[in-house]
Amino acid sequence: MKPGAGLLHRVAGVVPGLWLAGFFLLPLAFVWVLSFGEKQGLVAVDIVWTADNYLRALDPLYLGIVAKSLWIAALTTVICLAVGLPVALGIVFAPARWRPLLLLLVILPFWTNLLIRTYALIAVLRTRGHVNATLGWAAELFGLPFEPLSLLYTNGAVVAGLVYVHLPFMVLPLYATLHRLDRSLVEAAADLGAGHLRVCVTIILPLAVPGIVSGSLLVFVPALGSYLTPDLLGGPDSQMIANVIERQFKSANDWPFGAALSFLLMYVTFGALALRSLSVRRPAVP
Amino acid sequence: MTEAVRVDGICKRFGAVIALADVSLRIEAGEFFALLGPSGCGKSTLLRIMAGLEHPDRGSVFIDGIDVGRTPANRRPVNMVFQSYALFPHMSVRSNVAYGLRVTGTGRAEAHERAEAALGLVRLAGYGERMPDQLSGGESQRVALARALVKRPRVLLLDEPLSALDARLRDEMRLELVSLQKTVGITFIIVTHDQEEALSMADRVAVMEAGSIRQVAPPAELYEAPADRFVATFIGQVNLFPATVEADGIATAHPFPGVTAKSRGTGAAHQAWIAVRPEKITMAPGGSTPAGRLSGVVEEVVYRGDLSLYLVRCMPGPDGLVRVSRANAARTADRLPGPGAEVVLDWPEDCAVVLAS
Repeated sequence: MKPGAGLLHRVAGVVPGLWLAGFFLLPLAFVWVLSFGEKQGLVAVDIVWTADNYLRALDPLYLGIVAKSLWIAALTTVICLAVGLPVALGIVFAPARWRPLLLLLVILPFWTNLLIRTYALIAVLRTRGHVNATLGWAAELFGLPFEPLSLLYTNGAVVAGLVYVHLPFMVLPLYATLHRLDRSLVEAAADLGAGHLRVCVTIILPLAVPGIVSGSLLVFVPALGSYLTPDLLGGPDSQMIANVIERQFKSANDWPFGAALSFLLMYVTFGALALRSLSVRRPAVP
Repeated sequence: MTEAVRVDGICKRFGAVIALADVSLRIEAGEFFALLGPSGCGKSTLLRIMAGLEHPDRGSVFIDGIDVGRTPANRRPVNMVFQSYALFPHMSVRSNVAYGLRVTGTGRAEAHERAEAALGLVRLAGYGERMPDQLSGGESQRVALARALVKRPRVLLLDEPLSALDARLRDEMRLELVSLQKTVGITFIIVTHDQEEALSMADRVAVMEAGSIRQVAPPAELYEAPADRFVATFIGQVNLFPATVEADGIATAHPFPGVTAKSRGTGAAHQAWIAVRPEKITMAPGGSTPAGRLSGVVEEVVYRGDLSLYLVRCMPGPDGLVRVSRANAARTADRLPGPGAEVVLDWPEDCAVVLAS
């Protein structure tokens, strides 16, 4: 290797390293230190290395919100998987010339601002929104009495919003995994006597596990920390942990406690990532 | 003999490409049958249509005399060995072999017992616990065979089963496939582009080109009595002399009046060919008697170990080169003519075949 090339290699490694240190690790370290501080008046924080903030976070009130966040994120992940798997399978087995268009349809929502998409969902779900209008029209058609459903500002609305926002994160890794699947394996299974469902369960699903794990993680982690969707679509009891954190930094002006809650959320995320690396390293089951 | 598979007027096109153009074929029960042809001739498509993995645009497939046109792949009494073997990577060898039994309702114990027996049949007893990525190419091939045979299909379809193996293993597996077929007594239909493979294994061979069947015959007949120029040139080497057939059925080559042959058919034809295989031609030193059919000069000798190929120039131009092969029976090739030697070529009259097209 030429000496110049070696230098270039070293510089190429340093630049992202500096970027990561300056814009990610340093702020993170700052928040981490903050989480051991104590609020003193309006803006001042004393770093006294106390664990009080973490102990306070273990209060049943906050643990309940963490549990609820975990539950909503898990439900979102399961629904995304249930919806995303047939969608990914449909795209993989669609005629080749349709595939780019179908993938585009999955990705298209990304091109719209999240806030605008969420407001659009409000228009769909509100009492005089599109869902109720359609149901009312259908009820009228059959001469049934109809009372508009209150869909918005419920846990259901939050889950629906999270599923809508995160579905592409499930479909894309699933598609990538299924697309690589050797088609002759599916043919061999059919040739050996397996029907469609049996082929799905015994061949396609086990071989799609890496995609299922990646997709679930890509949905679960951001869904767990989601802030905008529960804020706009949720009711008073559908707050998630990120909404509580936001309140500590803003209205409550308690930065140390907000920092501690943030780190708790991060530890949960690390736990999920650790589970994933375990599942990847696990030897194939005979 | 009873028929195992019959295809009737099969047509199949992929977009603008015609894969099969009105193909009809009858394969007898217990036969080792080969579909031979260059890549893209439609042989694999025909096999996949028999398996139910492709659907013909027109025509019918009968297995054991029953029209299976509406029977999906998973209900046909045929099984396939895929070119890539298509072993399920997440299952052990035993689970792979037992898969076809398990999905059709055989109990676990019986399925595993039969899987072990099938593995024994392909000489892989004791390999049941291994995973497919721990197998060599030859072992994967045997597992794929066992997996297809364990279902006791009426017909076993093999798609280029030996193409992924190295040459030595391929020779070994050829013999093994033949003896396996004799043992199990199942009809084997093999797709191959390798003429040697088809000739050495099959009872009958169908030669295909561009979506049509050119000839169906036992190997010796294909080689000795090819139906047309494509079959003659695709299988082995051949010398082709442009010829004219007279009304009496005698064909005479244009620039070589000594090259004649009796046509099998009747009637005159302006354009025909006389085909002579290189090993049928005898070679004598120039000027010897009898004078022979052709005389020329050895231009090149290609040594191939078991035989040598002589390119004899009988006339200028690309059509003037005649290929003669001689077995290297003696250890030293001193007695044989070298480049530049004048030679006289001859062959028995019945070794020349007239081809109409």
